[in-house]
Amino acid sequence: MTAALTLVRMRWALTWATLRKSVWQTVGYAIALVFAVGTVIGVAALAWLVGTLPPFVPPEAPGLPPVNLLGPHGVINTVVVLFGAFLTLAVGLFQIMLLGEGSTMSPRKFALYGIPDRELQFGLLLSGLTGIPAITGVLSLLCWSLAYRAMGPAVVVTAVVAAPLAVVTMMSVSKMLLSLSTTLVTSRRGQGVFYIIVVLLFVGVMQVPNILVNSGVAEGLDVAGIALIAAAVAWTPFGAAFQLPYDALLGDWPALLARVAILAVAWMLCFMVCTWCLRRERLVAGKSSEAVKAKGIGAFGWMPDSPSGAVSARLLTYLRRDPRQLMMFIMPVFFIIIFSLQAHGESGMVWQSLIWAGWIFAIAESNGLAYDGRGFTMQVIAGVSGFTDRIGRVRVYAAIIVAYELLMFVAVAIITGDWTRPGGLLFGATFAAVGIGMGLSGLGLAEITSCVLMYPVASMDKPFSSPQGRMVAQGFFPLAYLIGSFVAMLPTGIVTIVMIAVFPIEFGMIYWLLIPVALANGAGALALGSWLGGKLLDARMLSVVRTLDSFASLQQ
Amino acid sequence: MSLDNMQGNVGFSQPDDTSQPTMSQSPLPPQPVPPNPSAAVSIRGLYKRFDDKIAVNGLSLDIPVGSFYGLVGPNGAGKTTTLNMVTGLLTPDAGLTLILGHDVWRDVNTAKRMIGVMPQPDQIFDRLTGMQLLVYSGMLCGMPRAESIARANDLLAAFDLTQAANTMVADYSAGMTKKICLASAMIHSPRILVLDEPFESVDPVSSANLKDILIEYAKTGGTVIISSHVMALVERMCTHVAVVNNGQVCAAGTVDEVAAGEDLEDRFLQLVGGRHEAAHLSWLDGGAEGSDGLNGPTDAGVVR
Repeated sequence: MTAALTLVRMRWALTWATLRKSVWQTVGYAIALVFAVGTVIGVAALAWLVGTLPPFVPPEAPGLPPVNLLGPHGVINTVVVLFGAFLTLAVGLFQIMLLGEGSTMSPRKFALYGIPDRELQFGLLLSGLTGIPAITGVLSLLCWSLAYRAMGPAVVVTAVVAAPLAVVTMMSVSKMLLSLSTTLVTSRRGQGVFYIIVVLLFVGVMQVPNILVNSGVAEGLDVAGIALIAAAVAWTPFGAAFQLPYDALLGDWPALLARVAILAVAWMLCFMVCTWCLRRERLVAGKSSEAVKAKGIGAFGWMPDSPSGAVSARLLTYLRRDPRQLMMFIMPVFFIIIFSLQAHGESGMVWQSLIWAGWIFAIAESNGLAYDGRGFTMQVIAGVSGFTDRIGRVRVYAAIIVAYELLMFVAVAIITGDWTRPGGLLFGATFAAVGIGMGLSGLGLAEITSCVLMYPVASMDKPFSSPQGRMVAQGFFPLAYLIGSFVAMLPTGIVTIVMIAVFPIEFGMIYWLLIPVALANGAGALALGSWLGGKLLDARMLSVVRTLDSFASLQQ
Repeated sequence: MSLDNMQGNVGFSQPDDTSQPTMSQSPLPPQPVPPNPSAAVSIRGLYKRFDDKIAVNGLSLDIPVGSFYGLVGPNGAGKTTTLNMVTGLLTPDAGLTLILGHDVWRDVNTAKRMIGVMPQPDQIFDRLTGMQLLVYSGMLCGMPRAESIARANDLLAAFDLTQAANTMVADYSAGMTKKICLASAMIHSPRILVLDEPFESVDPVSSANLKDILIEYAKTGGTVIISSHVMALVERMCTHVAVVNNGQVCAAGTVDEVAAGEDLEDRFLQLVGGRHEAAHLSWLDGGAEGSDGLNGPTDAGVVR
């Protein structure tokens, strides 16, 4: 127990030290606290509101039974269990994706101290439970017990007891998923593939409600059927804690005890898996992963024979091996899927995905030097000018943007059927041109922001890790790029407005004039951004190197 | 050169012996010595401060062309900071640096192309293969692709890395990584090589191979500047040495001059000081705090 409490104290000592070291960290922490307090207050308010609802409401149509709102297996019961289960899984995925293996409280850091595996694992679990997210979760669920106040004190007390049980389950599942992912996936290629799968899963899961609602599937769902699903989920560790108050309401104490036993068994299993992972680490520690080979010089053989060509070749080679910048290629596909489901026959709804895709294409490049890491020092050592670097990068990203937009154009033309309609392709080409313009102007802006608005990113070796100081900056700096991209396309927007205002009737026939306008807008913004970015990089070159050095220390 | 040559003598000339101050005159202040444009590297009054710490305190030094120059000093002496300022990787607060007569900070990119700086293992793009990394280095320095490829093949053969040419550098051992870093610094055939702790974490076999290559390079008239705190290595390889401590040069000259008949390491310790009697720690007898050390974990094994 001593070791466990020491680990908890150590976690907070490290947190305070980080806050003292960095103003940004303190700001980020304060914002996180505000969000946490807001979450608790919001849940409490919602619980109070739910507690005022009647247990049954009259049916929409005569002859139908009343709708069970607050009763067992009613609407609230079903929603709470399903949402709770979803939250438990999402927290595990979120932990892997965004929080990752805590750089400071990793089990590997304690390998030298001879702490028994169970004590170490228990201590790490305890230290996780004392963090802001866990405390927020417990307080929120405690406040949720207010929703049951009309059901009697036994139900409220059960809900209060169930709150920490639910959070312990979430933490246990998260730790288990994290331990498994870091222990079993050891090769570099394996980590990359695993990261891709997790990202796809996470984005897919987050989009499921959107897809269900917009596709109309949600409207056709059978409420009774969902209640059955919830009842089944309530017998799994993911939903059991959220069903406990209703067991108390029914006086079904054997079921309540059975669910508590399920939770306890789940915790034990997660704990055993985690300690197994610790033992396995000792078995295979130091084993070198299979070396990755690549014949020839690849892109270095056909890119322009110049320093900027070398920059392009290096960047392209890295993009193929870097799972962190994958979102650039995934999100446009999701845009097409979601807008297709929302379109209900309106092709313009689907074509707009080309514009949104163009908007987000260069988000990663807006912090491109941070993704390069300390390897950028090679360019500084060689005396490469800022403009040469910018041109090298723009060459690659501009080609990707144009090629991807053209691919999307073909895909959407087929999905919407516009390739068969007269004027359909011209209609789509206009969206494609605006999308390309958006992408190029965003890229031009990214060549500026990557020199001045840098924030730490996970290292390529540990794409799941979360370097200190990332959260706050990552929340705000990309906004500058996102908002700035729209500003950079203002000329196109102004021309569009003018055309509509001056030729309101003819606009339907002359809209295609926006094609050259958008392309010229994008090219102009790109040229200006590259030139200015080159100047900035020349002026800030050494400052950028120092910043990258500090980011590297955060990644350890 | 006398061992009493402190830094001030490199940066400042001694007052003329014949012009002895009279009772009514104050002694002439030392005159600054102009930098030496014929030296490989000529440093005058280099100064750098980080918050409250003065890392380099008016350092002055001349490194002759064709020398194998060792820059030695204890940890925190200012060696790396000095080299970073000399090679254009850190802006000095004051001072002047000439590289083959060229002012580094007047046109830093031109100066960088004259020198080859060996990057640290974490300062390279290690997701490239060894061959790709060398071709990349060559092309970055403005070399044509064909020439870069040819030289890369030569370097891989010279460094015994041909078998690993198509392997990602991230999968190299520490010694292989150091070799590829050195090769990337040499590909554009600079006249001055700057290596910061090149043999740190390198096994003896790889170290010996690296040394042979550097000695071969120096024989062609190139100047090699290495920083190290391993005196035995410096004594074996270098022709000249400068002892740096607290951001200043304590002594500089040929190895024999600085050693003055003693072991170089002993002389180094005399110059930098800091030695004290071995600490006597009464608990350092294998006993853990509060237990006999055999009955399981105790507080001594726990992170404090």
